[in-house]
Amino acid sequence: MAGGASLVLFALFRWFRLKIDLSASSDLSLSSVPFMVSGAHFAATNYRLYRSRLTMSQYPLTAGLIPLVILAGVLGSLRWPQTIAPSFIKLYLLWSPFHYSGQTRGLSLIYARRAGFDPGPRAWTALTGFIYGSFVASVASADARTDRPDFFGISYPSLGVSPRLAALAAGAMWACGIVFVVLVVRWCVRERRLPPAVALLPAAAQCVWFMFSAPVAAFVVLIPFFHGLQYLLPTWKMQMQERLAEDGRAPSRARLARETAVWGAGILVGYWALFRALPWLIGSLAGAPALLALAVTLAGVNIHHFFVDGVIWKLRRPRVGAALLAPLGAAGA
Amino acid sequence: MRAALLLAALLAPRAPAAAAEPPRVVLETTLGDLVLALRPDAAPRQVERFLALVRAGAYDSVPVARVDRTRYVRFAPVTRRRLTLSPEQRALAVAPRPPIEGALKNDYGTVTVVRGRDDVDATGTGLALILAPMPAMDGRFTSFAVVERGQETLEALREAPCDPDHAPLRAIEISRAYVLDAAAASSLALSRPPPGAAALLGPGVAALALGLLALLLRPRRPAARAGARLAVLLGFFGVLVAAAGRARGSAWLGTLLLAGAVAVFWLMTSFELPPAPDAAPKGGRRRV
Repeated sequence: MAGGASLVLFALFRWFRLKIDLSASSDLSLSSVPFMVSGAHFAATNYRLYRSRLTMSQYPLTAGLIPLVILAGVLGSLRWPQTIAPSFIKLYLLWSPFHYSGQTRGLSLIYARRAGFDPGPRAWTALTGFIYGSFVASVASADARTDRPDFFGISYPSLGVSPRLAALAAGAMWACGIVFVVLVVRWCVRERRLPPAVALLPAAAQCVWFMFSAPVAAFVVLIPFFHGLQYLLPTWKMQMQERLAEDGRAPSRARLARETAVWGAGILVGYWALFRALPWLIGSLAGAPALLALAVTLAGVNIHHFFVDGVIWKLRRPRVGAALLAPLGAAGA
Repeated sequence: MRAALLLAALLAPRAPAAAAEPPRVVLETTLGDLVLALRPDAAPRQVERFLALVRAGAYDSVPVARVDRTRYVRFAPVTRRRLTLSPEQRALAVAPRPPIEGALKNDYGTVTVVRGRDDVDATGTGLALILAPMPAMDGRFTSFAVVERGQETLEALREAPCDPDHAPLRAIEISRAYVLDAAAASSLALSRPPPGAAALLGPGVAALALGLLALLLRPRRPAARAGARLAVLLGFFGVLVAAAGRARGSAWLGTLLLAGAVAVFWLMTSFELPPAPDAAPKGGRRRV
């Protein structure tokens, strides 16, 4: 749904040449709804890991050691803003689209399984190639530059890769896409039904985000927003299923609304803590400029999220798989 | 760099044509040192004035006012320095500025006297360290020195984090400026530059190799597997810090770093797995 909405919005921006003023201060953009939604999805991840001793004890290194390692990276960046900070930011900016790709692939598989859509392992391999091909192509395209872009005032290095790499990756991406479409068409003929659009939307949305959104400046903000929205919907569903199952009472709309409100308020508080309080606290304790502290803390929170997300959503875990693969109506409504 | 600066300082007076050697000035900045070789052949009056100001201590505590990464690093005029100017220093600073002497082109590493927007008293004492060929400045501003030693410091100044108006986020200033003569060269200890990124290459490669070796041995304990993956990540980060700045000059190195990053991210997707599917740990309470 979020992926589809992003495609509609992209078309509107392109056709009607809509523009959003992104020249506002970083403070303003931090307060914007897109950033809050994006920020809330970080809080939702942390909530899933840190909500109980049971979940923390299942991933002791991710829950305990990784925050310390990342904190060391943040403090090192503040201590050596010319040496460590640019590479810390670079690591985050390279990892982020890889992480997006993982989520896109995961969502595609979940929606396909829910809809009984299975064109075979070769098709899934081709789709994986298409998704990660768009990641490599976009990163290689950005890193073919030889200047040093800015992230909240921190100049980070471009890798200066050959422009041919981006073209090569784009070629591989389209080749994988064509193979996937051919295999899906074969499946459609065999099964005599159309593929579920919801299973194809995440990959299509990512392709637009990574390959075509550059001329639409607003998508710098909107891509993390839609990524966050994509994430929050299944997270909300899983949260509701667990909460409603805990007390054993019959689910009702009122109870669902109440639980949703509590959960929503919780992750908004988490957003505030992660993106407002934490940078201020770290910057104050380290005696670092506010913008520098914000930039490296933001990178640190993101990297922590990539770690946590990589372990808590494994479909091979029966409880996670069962919850994510169940129809949306099973949330209790 | 300290050794290089000392070497340069020691070698300079021993050169055969010592009498013809240009005067040198050391700018000790909070990001490291710069040795400027002055060019009296190109700008005699500007060099004379600059030396007088340096000898009077007028450049001590002068801050960096603006960092334009593609053009120049500009220091504030001496009248805007953090310490109050003495009457003698002020008299030198407000003395009439010499006419434009445009024999030296504004190229990477040259030092030019500029009059910035904040140089309201028009003393013409603000220095600009030029970071790229600037033909538009030739003949309009006096370029009078070149950075002889301390290119690392020049690059560190270029990379200083700045606000959107190009002002450094963290105060950077000339701690001390002094003329480097033969007598001083043998006795002065130059300040140590900030730790170099290249220093992380060795530890980074070592951690990377150890982590990969441990993964190849397929450790049984989940903690050992996670530790090996973490070593790979930290090692890669060390290599990234050391090599990313150089990758711009080598497409192969850049491609290798990108491929390494993808491999490391892929490795991290299985950083830690639960010991058994949804099993309650010892002593843990199952909530669901």
